[in-house]
Amino acid sequence: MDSDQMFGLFNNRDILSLLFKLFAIVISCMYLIYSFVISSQTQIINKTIESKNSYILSAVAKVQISLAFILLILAIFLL
Amino acid sequence: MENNREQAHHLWHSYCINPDIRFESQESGEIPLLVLRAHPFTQLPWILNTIFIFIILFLIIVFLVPYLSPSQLFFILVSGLMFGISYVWFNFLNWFFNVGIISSKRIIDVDYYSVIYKEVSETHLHRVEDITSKTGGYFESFFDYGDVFIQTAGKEAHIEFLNVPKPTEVVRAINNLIGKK
Repeated sequence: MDSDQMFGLFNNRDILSLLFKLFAIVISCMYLIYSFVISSQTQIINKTIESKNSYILSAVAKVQISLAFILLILAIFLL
Repeated sequence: MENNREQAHHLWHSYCINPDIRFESQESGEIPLLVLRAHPFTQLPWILNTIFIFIILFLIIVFLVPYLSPSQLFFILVSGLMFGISYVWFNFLNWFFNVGIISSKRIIDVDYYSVIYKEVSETHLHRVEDITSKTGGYFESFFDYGDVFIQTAGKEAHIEFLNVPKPTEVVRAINNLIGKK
């Protein structure tokens, strides 16, 4: 395999797509960690004021984690 | 306020009378009488920021259409929406849990800094020395919100309720409670 063939394996668009995918996975992982932190904090601060609707706040935090997982899956499998 | 147990939630739950809640350090026999949060108008900056974020997201996607694949554009759209919603959620939590509580026994100020750092200041009603309300500026006068400062006796920390609705009524309510003690 000569050098032209080697460099032809990866054209610019493929490299950019790979970089985009890597960036997307990193951002998704960071967002997932952020979601876990916010969710755990929501559980803690829900104890500050407990009301009949506190479960809504916990549910929204859990939905955020689910969406973060979906974002990570999209980054890994869709891109 | 103590004798009338009728609940009332004003201004999107920023001024709640006789709320049906239980707070963390609530003692037995202690009744929450008033829960205060920052006036909704003071939350306008992050609401406007959110609108700005979504406009920027839309412009970015429109600009990048010729350069990216549909899957990449879809990912940018989804991630941008989720970040925008997370920004809203973060600021809502900050607003919702930064509360001032006036109960039958105490005055409590709960402050959360960036959702993570918590500071609680409290004083018993009989230790309250002086109560001051401050309202200044056009918007504060128009929307009737301001700051309430509660000075306590001795070495206890002073309590501040910032940008709360109806500060004059808050002062009156505390004075009524102190007068009854």
